[in-house]
Amino acid sequence: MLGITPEDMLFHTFAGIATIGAILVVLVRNPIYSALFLALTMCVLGAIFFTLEAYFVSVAQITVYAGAVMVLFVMVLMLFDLKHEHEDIFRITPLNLSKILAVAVMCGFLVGTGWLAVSAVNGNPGAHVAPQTVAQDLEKKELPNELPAKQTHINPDEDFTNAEDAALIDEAKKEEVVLPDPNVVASTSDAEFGSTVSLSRRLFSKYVFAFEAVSLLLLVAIVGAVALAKSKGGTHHGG
Amino acid sequence: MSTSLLISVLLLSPLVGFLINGLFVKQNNKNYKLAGFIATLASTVSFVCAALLYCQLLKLEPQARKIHEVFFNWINVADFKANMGFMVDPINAIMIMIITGVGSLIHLYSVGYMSHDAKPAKFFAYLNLFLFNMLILVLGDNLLVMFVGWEGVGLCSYLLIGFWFQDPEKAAAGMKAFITNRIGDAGFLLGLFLIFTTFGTIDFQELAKITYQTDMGWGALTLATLFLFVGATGKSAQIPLYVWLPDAMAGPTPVSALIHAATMVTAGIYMIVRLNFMFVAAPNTMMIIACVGAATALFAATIGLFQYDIKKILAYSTVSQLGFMFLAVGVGAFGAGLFHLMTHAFFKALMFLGAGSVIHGMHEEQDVRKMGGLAKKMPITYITFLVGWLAIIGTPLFSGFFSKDEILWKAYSSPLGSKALWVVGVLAAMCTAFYMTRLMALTFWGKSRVNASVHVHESPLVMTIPLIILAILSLVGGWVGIPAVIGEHFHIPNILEHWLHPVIAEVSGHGSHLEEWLTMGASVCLAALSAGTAYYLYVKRPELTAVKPNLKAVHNIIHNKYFVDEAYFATIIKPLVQLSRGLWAFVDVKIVDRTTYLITDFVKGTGNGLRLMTNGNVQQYALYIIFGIVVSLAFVFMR
Amino acid sequence: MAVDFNSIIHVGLNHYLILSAVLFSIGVLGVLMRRNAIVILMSIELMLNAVNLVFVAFSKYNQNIDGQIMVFFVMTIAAAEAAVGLAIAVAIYKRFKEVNISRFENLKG
Repeated sequence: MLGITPEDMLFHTFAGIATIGAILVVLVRNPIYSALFLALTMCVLGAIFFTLEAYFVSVAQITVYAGAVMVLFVMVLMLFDLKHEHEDIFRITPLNLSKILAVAVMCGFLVGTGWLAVSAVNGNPGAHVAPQTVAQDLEKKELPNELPAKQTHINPDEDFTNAEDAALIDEAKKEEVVLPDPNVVASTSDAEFGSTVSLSRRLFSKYVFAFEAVSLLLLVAIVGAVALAKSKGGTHHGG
Repeated sequence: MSTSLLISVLLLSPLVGFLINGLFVKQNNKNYKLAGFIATLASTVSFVCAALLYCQLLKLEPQARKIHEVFFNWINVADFKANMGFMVDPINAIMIMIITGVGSLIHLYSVGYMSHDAKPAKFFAYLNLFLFNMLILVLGDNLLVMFVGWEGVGLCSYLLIGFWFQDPEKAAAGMKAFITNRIGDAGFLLGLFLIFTTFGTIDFQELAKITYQTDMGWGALTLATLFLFVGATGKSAQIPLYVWLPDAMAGPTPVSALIHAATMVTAGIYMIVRLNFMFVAAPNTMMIIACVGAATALFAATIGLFQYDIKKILAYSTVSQLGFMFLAVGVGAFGAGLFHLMTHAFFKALMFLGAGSVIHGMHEEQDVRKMGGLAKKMPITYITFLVGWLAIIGTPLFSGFFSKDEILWKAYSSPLGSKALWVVGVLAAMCTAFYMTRLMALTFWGKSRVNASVHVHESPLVMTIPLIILAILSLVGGWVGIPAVIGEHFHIPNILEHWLHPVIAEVSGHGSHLEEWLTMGASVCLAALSAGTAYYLYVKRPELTAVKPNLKAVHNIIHNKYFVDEAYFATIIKPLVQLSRGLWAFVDVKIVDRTTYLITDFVKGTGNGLRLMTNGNVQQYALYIIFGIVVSLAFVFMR
Repeated sequence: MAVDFNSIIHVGLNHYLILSAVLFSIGVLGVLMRRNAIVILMSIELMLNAVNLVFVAFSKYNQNIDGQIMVFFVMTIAAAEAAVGLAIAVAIYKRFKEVNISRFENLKG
């Protein structure tokens, strides 16, 4: 009716759930409910990533963030006895109002800056631009504000009862369908954008040093976390 | 042997000695032999290098006797260029031989003299440092390098005069020397600046080429040379900046011998001789130099007549003899001035060392009224001192005769001189003869007035050998400069004149041989007369030397050095001190300090105010961050 | 005021940026206003997620995989940071028996 596509619908739904989830993270009193709403938001964000063709990232988001980090949060919250926590964030003090105002202004600026940046590169915010290949220079190409079309939609209203076309379709059906050989690994140029293969190829060539450094950082974080949280006597003295 | 290596070793050997003695030898009395050995060795190595350089010079043609080594380009700013370069030519060759030769002897002497001192290593370190700086001064090939050495010797003079600084009087003497020197140095610097702005260079060789064509009137050249001469009066103790030298006798006697007789005080003379081409082009300055020199010679000699400290007598004698040297260069007799510099180094150093020996033998007694008849008790010291005495009063054949006579003759005959100058010079020479004979009489001859409890003894060999060597030099040192009037009869050339001829501007005198003989005879006879009078008064009829009541006032004035120091204090020093005090109380305390406190109070107040922002509430800090983000985004947005 | 309804419905890069900005601001609000230390940490995680969203969106629209690599790293670091932050919170709780940050103002003055 309005040219609304399923992708748009998906996005708006997910966006709405994410926003509400985020607001509830901040608003609810019980911190465990906060954690659960945050997990919800993260899962929804994973779904949004999926619609953005970032398949690996999407799975990682759900596995790592929603699955590991939030579980850790919940576990730590369970350790605490937080009955006598009375937080009151709804007190209307000048300080609180100034905080909300400042954040709202910041949000407005962020949105405005992003809008300006996108339209400055584009020249026209609503233009449809054909999808570009990976190798092209960012400056030369315009920022498309459109989802690159992946497939054309078959209009079910069209009439296929034409005999000529029906014959053509029958012929096409008889042709052998060549299935891709699962033993052949896809080359870089064949790899789909956002797939694990293309991500890993870039990660282990251009960013391998950062990768190693981050692994070292993780080691440090592990050691640090253990050292910080451990009790005085260690495990063999029984606290 | 390459000349750059020779020059390097010559310069660096005393510096190395300074560093070793200063940094690595422990400061206690037991080390005096080790420290002395190191220092004397360093000095002797320098002497050997100096001798080798002299031989190298001899090999060259007389017109081209110059060894020039530039070690590196030191300063190169806009138009100003100064190299660290060193030059050896006939003038310096004499100087470095004197400095290192006499210096080495004095180093050797000091081993004995400082054997009882608490910190001999420090003393030897300073002596070596002095040698290093003096060599830089005389070997420099431009005014700036010379000034480096000039300042350095001033510093060493201060360090050595105030060597026993625990005594406030001695420390004050050191300060007086340094400050008076500094006033002279200001003059030197002004002269240097003026020369640079006028001629665009401070290199001696370049200046020599330029200044031969300049004007002969009251121009920039005259002013520059006048400023340089002010520097020379400070360093070489002429009127009005001589007052530090008698006080400098507070230092150890080898210091007086080395610095205040043989080397440092001669720096002013050397500078004028080095720049002879400039001074010759400024006859007005030359006249001033000659007059000041003659006046100082007479003035100091009269003060010396009534001093009772053996070292003070010798100090005023030094000032007087320096006056002679300035008289010489002032009338254009640069060679004569240098000649007298050399002979004076020999006999004055000898006499200072001899005085040191006497003081050492008398167990630190310096008042001549308490001495007498020491000839028998300290024979070597006596005989060597006698040679020095004969030299300084101008006894024919001794070195002092040839050099002093040359000066007097040139003062008489040179176009820049006058008979009046000659008369003043002769008067000064008469006074010299008188007070030196008085010194001999009171110290060595006659009846002994020594306190019975003092056991007088001769000094050890390490102190007497330098005395003997210097005595020999005082005798024969003048034979290199035998004037033509005498020498032509015996076919002895004037070696010194031929040696210096290519590098020193000639001011030809007018005067017949007859006049020369007459003036020579007159001065010798008058000197002998005054020596004889002194001998008569002080040895034969000592009771006549008691001061008569009507002469008491005169005696008082002269004995108190004409109250010059007191006059300086009242007119210059006291007002300056009061002005400084006033400035401090008003400007420094009230204005400067108040302003500084204003600033600090402001900073403190601001800090205190800002401190209230940190109340420990982390979320407040996060809010500040958000404010910052909003502001920066606003900036980006507005563009 | 003419609102182009089509451009609001039809999803483009701007929509993702707006969503990310909103999520980020909510996270900031959480950091500023909540007093429970754990909830503050969670708000920080929310902010990081918003940033991830921006990266992925730009990666898709520029067809440049580097953006997703960045997300990879941000996720890693966020996880590490959460672990260490929670360890500190545990240590604090053990000592003080509460995690209300308004009680910890020792840096005052």
